[in-house]
Amino acid sequence: MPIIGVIASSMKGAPGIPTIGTATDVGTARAYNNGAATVAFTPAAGATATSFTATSSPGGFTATGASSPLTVAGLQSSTSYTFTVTATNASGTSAASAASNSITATTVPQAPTIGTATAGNASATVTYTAGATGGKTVSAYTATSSPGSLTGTGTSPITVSSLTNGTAYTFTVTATNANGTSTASSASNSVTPFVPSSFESIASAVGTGTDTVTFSGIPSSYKVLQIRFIAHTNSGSDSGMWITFNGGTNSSISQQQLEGRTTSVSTYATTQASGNGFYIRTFGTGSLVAPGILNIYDYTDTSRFKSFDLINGFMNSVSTTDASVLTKTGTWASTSAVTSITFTLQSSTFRATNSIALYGIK
Amino acid sequence: MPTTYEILATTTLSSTANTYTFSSISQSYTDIRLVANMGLTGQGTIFFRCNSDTGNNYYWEALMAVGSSSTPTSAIQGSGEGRCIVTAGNQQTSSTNGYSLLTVDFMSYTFSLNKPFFYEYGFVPATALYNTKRTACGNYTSGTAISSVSIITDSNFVAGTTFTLFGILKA
Repeated sequence: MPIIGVIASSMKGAPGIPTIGTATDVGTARAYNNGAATVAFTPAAGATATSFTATSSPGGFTATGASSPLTVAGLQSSTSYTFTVTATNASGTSAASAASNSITATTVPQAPTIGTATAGNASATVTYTAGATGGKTVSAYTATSSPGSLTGTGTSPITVSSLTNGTAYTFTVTATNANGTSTASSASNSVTPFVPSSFESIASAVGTGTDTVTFSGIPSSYKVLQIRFIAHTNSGSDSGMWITFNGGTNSSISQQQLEGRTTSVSTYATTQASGNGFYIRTFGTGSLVAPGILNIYDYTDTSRFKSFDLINGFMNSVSTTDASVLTKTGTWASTSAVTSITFTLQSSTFRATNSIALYGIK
Repeated sequence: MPTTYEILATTTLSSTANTYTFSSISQSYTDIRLVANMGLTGQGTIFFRCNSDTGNNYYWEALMAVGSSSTPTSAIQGSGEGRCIVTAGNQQTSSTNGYSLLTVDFMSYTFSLNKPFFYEYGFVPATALYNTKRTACGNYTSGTAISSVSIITDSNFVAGTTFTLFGILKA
């Protein structure tokens, strides 16, 4: 006895091949290397499909659903993909559709690699190495402090300001593009911003065209005076600069010097010198620069003599024919406070490139 | 009076490294001063470069004393070095023997020519083989202002080594 019945046409056989539509990148808020694309298609007429599957090429990432469009996830950032779609019902699966248009998957950027944090005054700089862009231009790198969540933006190194001096901070860095913000880098080393020291600028002079510079009316509010200078003469053989205190001849200055010059080492000592003051070397044959740093200690203390030390020298700028470095310690045998300091060049004048600056240290 | 001698940057190495660079140094000061407290993983030379410059632009006169019994020596150095040497090979050993202290004063570091410097270096290890003291006056002769300074060793700086940069501005 034959079995006679009617099978609905929608149940007959495997579904036909879908017609591929448009594939579209969906990058917004997608994590790095987890991009997504929507794939549109049109089911074939005839046998009804119960599901459709979109498959990427390359990678073979898939998404399955009952209708168009399907969203395929897991795509690698900045990688081009095409997609095909198959239809499936109880009778089987269709052949794949034609390939879609090609899309480039985009995501948020890859997290930057943290570098080194360096503390400043109520601030810190943070270096990083950029990661991949996620397929879209990175618009900002942001360093964020912990604690405080204070931020700075820019390229490496990023400066984060408004930090609290004395508080330890670490930092992370993120990258942002049109799709969103990356995960944070690992935390930086810990740094602690500093309060600036109490080192103050009092006065300075540059190439005056004269042979004498005097700083007078020196405030008494410091513990130490420091003079930083570049003072070279412009003629003759060895010469120098004399420093005297309070306008006097300072015959009560004693000094001990240790000098290295070319390949020689020498010492020089005077006690209660001739009256010219404290000698600083500013010229050697062929030299073009003669810097020095002089410290004068307890310069306001009227109960003691004044001590000072110096590092000084001269250096040729183009050859190694002659050069000097010297250290010196001295005493001005006076209990008077130092209120003025005079610099007198020996048979020369201060050049335009000379500079003498007076600082006070509290 | 205006406060100056500002800390521009300071760091403590969290892991070993053979180079540390202060980059993007502000050009707003008169002088800059670098202070380093350095431990090495082993015997090594320490030197610095400005602006990653390996040209013959470093000249210095170094007054040196090594060990308790030696007489001090002095010499002009620089031509052909492409760097400024702070200490040579056997004059700093492993940090297990101690750390060294280096200060470098770069005078008028934004000048277009003749940027003189001083450095003071000392290393006094617990085992007194290579006690070293150096005092130098030098000149960096490049026409370019100093915008970065690198401290480099052919050994490695240990974690905990500190580098600090100060800026000093005259009135």
